[in-house]
This record gives sequence, C-alpha cells and structure tokens, in this order.
Amino acid sequence: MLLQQIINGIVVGSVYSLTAMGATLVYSILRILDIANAGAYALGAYVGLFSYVATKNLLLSFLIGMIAMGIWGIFVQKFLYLPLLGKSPLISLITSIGLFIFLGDFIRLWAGPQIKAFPADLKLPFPGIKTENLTIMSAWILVLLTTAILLLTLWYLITKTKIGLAWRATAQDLEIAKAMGINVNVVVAFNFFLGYSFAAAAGIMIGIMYNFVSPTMGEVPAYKMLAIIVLGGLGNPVGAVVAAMLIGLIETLVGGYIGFFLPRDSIAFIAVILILLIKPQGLFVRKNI
Amino acid sequence: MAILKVENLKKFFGGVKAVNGVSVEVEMGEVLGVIGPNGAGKTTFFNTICGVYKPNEGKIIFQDKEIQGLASFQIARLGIARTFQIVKPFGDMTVLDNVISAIGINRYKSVWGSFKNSRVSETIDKAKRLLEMVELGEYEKEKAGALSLGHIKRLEIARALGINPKIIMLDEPCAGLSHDAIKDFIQLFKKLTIEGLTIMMVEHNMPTAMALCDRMIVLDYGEKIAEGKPKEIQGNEKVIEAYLGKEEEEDA
Amino acid sequence: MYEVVVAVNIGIFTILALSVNIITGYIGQPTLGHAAFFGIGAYASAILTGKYGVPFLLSLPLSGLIAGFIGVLLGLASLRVRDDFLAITTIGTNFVVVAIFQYVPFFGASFGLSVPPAYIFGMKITYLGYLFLTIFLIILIIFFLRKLEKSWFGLAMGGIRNNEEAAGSIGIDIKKFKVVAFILGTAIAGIAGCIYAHYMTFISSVDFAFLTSITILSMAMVGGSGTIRGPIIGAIFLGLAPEVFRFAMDYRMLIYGALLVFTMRFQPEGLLGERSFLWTNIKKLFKKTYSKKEIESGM
Repeated sequence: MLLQQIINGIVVGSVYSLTAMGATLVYSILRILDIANAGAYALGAYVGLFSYVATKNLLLSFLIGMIAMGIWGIFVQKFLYLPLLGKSPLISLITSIGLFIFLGDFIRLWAGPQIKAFPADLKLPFPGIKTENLTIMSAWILVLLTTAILLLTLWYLITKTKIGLAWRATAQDLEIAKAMGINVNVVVAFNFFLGYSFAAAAGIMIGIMYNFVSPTMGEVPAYKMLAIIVLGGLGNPVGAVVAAMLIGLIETLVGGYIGFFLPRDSIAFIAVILILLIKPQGLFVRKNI
Repeated sequence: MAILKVENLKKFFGGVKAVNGVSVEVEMGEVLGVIGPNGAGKTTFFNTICGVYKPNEGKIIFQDKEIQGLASFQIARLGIARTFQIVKPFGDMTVLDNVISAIGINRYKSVWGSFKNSRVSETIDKAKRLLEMVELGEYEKEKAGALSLGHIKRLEIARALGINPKIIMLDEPCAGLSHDAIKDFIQLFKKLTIEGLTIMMVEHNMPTAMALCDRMIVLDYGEKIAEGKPKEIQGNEKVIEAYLGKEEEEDA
Repeated sequence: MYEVVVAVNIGIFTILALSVNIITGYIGQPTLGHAAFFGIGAYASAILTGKYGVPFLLSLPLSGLIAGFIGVLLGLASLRVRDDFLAITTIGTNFVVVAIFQYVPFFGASFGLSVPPAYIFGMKITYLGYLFLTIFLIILIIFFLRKLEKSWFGLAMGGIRNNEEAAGSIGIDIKKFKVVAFILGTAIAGIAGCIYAHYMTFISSVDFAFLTSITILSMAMVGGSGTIRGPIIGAIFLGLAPEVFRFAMDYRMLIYGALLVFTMRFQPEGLLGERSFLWTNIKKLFKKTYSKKEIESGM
C-alpha cells in the first residue's frame, strides 16, 4: 500500500515539477512571479486536445500545443513583461493575474464551459502495470517518461549549450549580461518559449491522465506552483523539482493516510508558510547551476 | 578625550575574516580617515560600528557606553550618523522630506509618539537650513531619486546631519564623483569641521583623504597595519607594500 | 434601490482598498491575502452578534481589533520573510484562513453563516443606513490617513518603503513600524468585514478567497498606490466596471482581466498616480485656472 502511495506521489510530483518549471524559468530571468504561466497550462491543454481530435496523433498534438504556447510566451514577455521590468514587482504580479483571469474566461467563451475529455480512442503505445499490490496506469508512465525527457532536455540545454551559458549569465545578472554583449532579448524569449511550452506539456498530460480539460483547470496549479517554486528557492530549477516532488508526496501520503481535515490544496501552502518561517529563503538558496 | 573606542573588533562572514581584530580610539572633534586597498574591510568596519552587522567579537564604546550588538536605529539614536558608499536616498520622497524624516529622531520617542504632525515650522526651518548648508536649497521640492549622484551624496550628508549626531561616518563620499564635484565636496567638508563634529571617513581618493584627515588608520585584509598622521602614513613601508601588492595582484 | 446596493459595495471595497494601501502603498510590503482579514472581521462579527448577542456598535470595533490581532502575526512574519517570499506567505495565509472557514463547523463550514441584522440605538439599519455608515467611515479614514501622511509615522513608512538600511541609519525602528502598519491595515479591513457581514446577512468562505484579495489590491494599484485618492478611484472604477458593462455580463471577467492588464501595462503608477496621464493633466488644469485668476485679480 505504501509503495502504491509513493508511486502516486511521484507521479503527482512529476506533473508539478513540469508545471512549476515554467514559473521557475520565468522567475530565474525576470524575477517576477508569473501566474499567467498557468494560463498557458490550461490553454495548452485545449490546443493539445483539439490537435489530437484533428490529427489523431498524440506526439504531434504535444508538439503543436507546446510550440503554440511557446510562441504565446514570447509574445507575452515582449509586450507585457519586458516593458514593466524594473518597476515594483507588485505591478507585474497584478498584470500577470489580470492576464490569467483574461485567459481563463477567453477559454470559457471560445471552447465552452463544459468539461471536455480526450477521445476514448486515445491509446497509449505502452500498457500499464498491474500486479497484486500495485497499479501503475499507462497514463502515469506517460507522465514519468515525458517529465524525464523534458527535464533532461532542459538540463542539457542549460548546462551544455551556448545559449544555456548565456541563459545562466542572464539569470545571474541581467544588466551585466547585457553589458557583456549577450543578446538578452533572445535569452528572455528563449526562456519564455521553454517555460510556456513546459506548462502546455503539463496541461496536456493532466488532461490525459485525469481525462479532464476545463477552463478553470489552471486555477489550483497557478497558486500551488507559486508555493512550490518558493519552497524550492525562487529561481532554482533543481530546487523546484525537489520541492515539487516533496509536495506531491506529502499531499498524496497525508491525504491517503491521515485524511487531513483541511483540503489537499492547503497542504502546499501550510508547508510553505511553516518552512519559510524556519528558512526564510526557501529550502534551497538560489544556486548557480 | 576619546568619543569612540573600538576594541579588537572582529566580523567574519563564514570563513572570510572581513574585520580581524581592529582597535582604534577616535578623539572628539577630529577627522579620522580609514583607508586601505580594495577589499580591506573598510565598509564592513563601518557597518559593524553602525549596527548593520553584529560583531563576532570585540567592543565598541561610544561616550562610555557599550554599543556593540545594538540595532542600527538604536545606534543612530545615540548619536552616530552615516552616509552610504552606494547612495540610498528615499527616492520617491522630496529632498526636503528626506531631511525632515531624519530630524524626527529628536521629535518622537516611540512608535505611538510618531503620530504627531511632522511639518511644524521649527522642523521645516531646520531642514531648510541643512539643505542650504549643502547647497541643495533650490531642489527642496524635487524627488530625491531624480537628482544627480553628486547632489544625492550631499543630500545624504544633510539627512545624516538631521539626526543631530555627535559623530558622522562618511563612507567613500567622493566615490563616483567628477573632479569638480570632489572640489565642491571639499568645500562642504570644511563647513562640517567648523560644526565641531567628529568625522570618520572611508576614502579611496588618496589626495583627498590626506588633505582632509587629522589622523588615519590603514586596514589591509581586515587588520590595522598602520595608524598616524597623514605624513607618517605616506612614508610607511607597510602601507606602500599593501597598496602595491594589490596593484600587482590586479595586474597579474 | 439597486443603485444603493452597488454604492454600498463600492463603499466597502473603498475601505478595503484604502486599508491594503497602508501596507503596500505606504510601507511597501507586499500583501496579497488581505481578504483573509476582511473575512476574519466578517466572521468575528457574525459570531459575536449571532452567538453571543453582542450589539452591533460594539461588534464593529471588536471585529477590527480581532482582525488586527491576527494581523500582528502577519506583521511579525514580515520581519522574518521578505519580498517575494513574503508575498507567497500572504497568499498562503489567505488560503489557510479560507480553508478554516470552509471546513471548521464552528464557522459554519461549507454552509456559510447567516448574520443577524444590525441595530443602532434600537433601529434596524436599512440599505440607505449602510450607505451612510460606509461613507461616514470612509471620511473618517480619509482624515486619519491625511494625518498619517503628514506625521512622523508617515515619513518613517516612506523611509522603510524606499530603503530600509537608510531608514535604520536615521533612527527608524523598522520592525515596530512594520508591525503597526500591518495592524492598522488589517484592523480596518476587519471593520469593513463587519459591515459587509451584516449588510449581506449571509457570508461564506468563498467571499474572502484569493480572488477577492486580488480585487482589493488591484483597486489600490489601478487607482494609484501610495495615495489617498488612488484606492478611492480604483474602487469606484473597478467596482463600477461590471455595472457599466452590464450588457456584456457574460464577458465580465474577460473585461476585468483586460482592464488590469492594460492599466498596469500603460499606467503602472495608477490612473491617478503621481506621474499618471490623468493626474499630471489635472494638476496642469489646476495651475492654469489659478494663474488665470491671479492675472485677472492683478489687473
């Protein structure tokens, strides 16, 4: 039983880490809390869904969803966040929340308020695992695989490529990176492309896993992701993954065993408040990758 | 008579011994310079005296009272004022308000007393006089953040004077200033000495420091390597070595 | 009749926006969960009057005190946790408080709480009565804030908002001022909550969720952070918007989101902020009329 719960927790944590990665990436470079990233999560899920209905090709749908949201991310940073750089962080926060509210309602008006699901003919190319004590659904394997692939790709991009080097420099100090001749605009655009496409991937996977796509699906993740990235030490991608896993596990185990009288979603916030009071900078301090 | 005594002051950051056993006595009314090559610990030394950092070891005695470990606002209330190497004006407030806010130190004691009106004529007059003294009178209605660096540095001095201090600690007052601005600063400095203030000054600009200070101490790697009148310091071999050594390091 | 309902709502939110502005606009601390204290005041009054028979006139200040008391905790947290971390902590506080209201039976759990009507000197307060009460409180708060802006407290808040290290260097006890600012902001929100509870006669946790906190904060910021006129205009503007766009009822949230985005993007200081388009032109207009008068009287 415990093993089952742990596996549940890891799967939940994996999705959280992918969703949180979007917000972490944005924070690393621009130092803003981007709640609108969760809008890309929801919108990406819809784009993925409609792509699948049109093409019946899962991989293609993922790609379309991710690329579409990536481009949207480039648009958002160019017209919204970059001009507001240097102003009070509350200003970009309110802007981001306004954008999130707008997107949520846009989805509702465009696609309708009903819950949608991926067509029943969606078959994953691998089966689930079912033993006496364990059930691992095929959707979960999809989640674990996709998360691993995407995170590894991210790690590779950031640590082993030229643009990754530019990214790390910009994340440390945007002004100095600019002064060193780094094309900061390209780095920021690249960053948002990644962050928003990751959110889209997470949204599509959640849609498949829970068979559920709705205009409000971004609401809980929006705020929970903030808790997670703060826990991981703002702007620290490794910390974000660890924190995401931690929260995923805590939520699953506490929910499963203690039957907490407070809702699951509060758990992340309670954990954050407690940990911040003990370690005001989060679990991990901003690390240089 | 020593107004400030620093005894074996130590401040560490992890393994870095930023200030490593510095002792000095500051005479009332004198101008004491604190000089040394980059990274010698001068600003950390200042910050520890002012309460920004708590020392790891050592004592700071101000007018016969031990002040090490006190919070910066408490030390300010006892009569030690300071300016900052990287300027910290109250940018979205007017120049006049920047100075008035400092005068408050003598107008209210506790938070509950702070609800009194601050814009009384006595206070405003005093603030205006201080601005005149630093020659910023015409800017009193401007937002402090809009001023040039040289002007902000002068504003910081006026603001520091607003708390009616016995000692004023200037942290690199000439950093980043143009040649002319430095000349202006020297003029202003002469006015300060007339006031009878005790002045401690970190200054990187050697000729300025030599010209303005009565005595100097030299720090290197957190330790005091020399102390004395400017002429003595000039010829001091250890001092020359410390500065030259740093230059070689930088060239390497 | 309907207009009065809208006006009272706007009035309550004006009080809330003015209160959150003390913490964010004046002393510069991010607080994104202010609705929690709105809710604490509301539930406090609902229970005090409903369960313990406390008269409304006593319950009003008590709700403020209770909210302010919890506000001390947040103020203390702000000493330990800064900036973005503090922002998240305040959001978390909002979620936790709402969850407590939603799940703990003493607060009615998911059924909400019904609130007894309020009586002043034996007379039941009417809708119009609430309007007068709200306007009266707003005027009181404006007077208080004007005094605050001119006081040493106001200057201390300005110093802390701009640069804490420099504020400390001129003798400002940053910790005490921060906590007191939180107390003031949250207590006033609690008072607003009390009025809201009796006015609506029914409250539930949903009324005080994060979205409400954002509404309150955005009113203060869209109007002009750090001023008195800002939160008032912001509350009126964002409070009237859904009414003005009644015909497009279905697009309410879309328009609201767009308003937030466009105002913050193009007028980040607020519609009536110091350097906003509107305010600078209003000042110019003022100067013109005054100098015209001078010329006319001089001739």
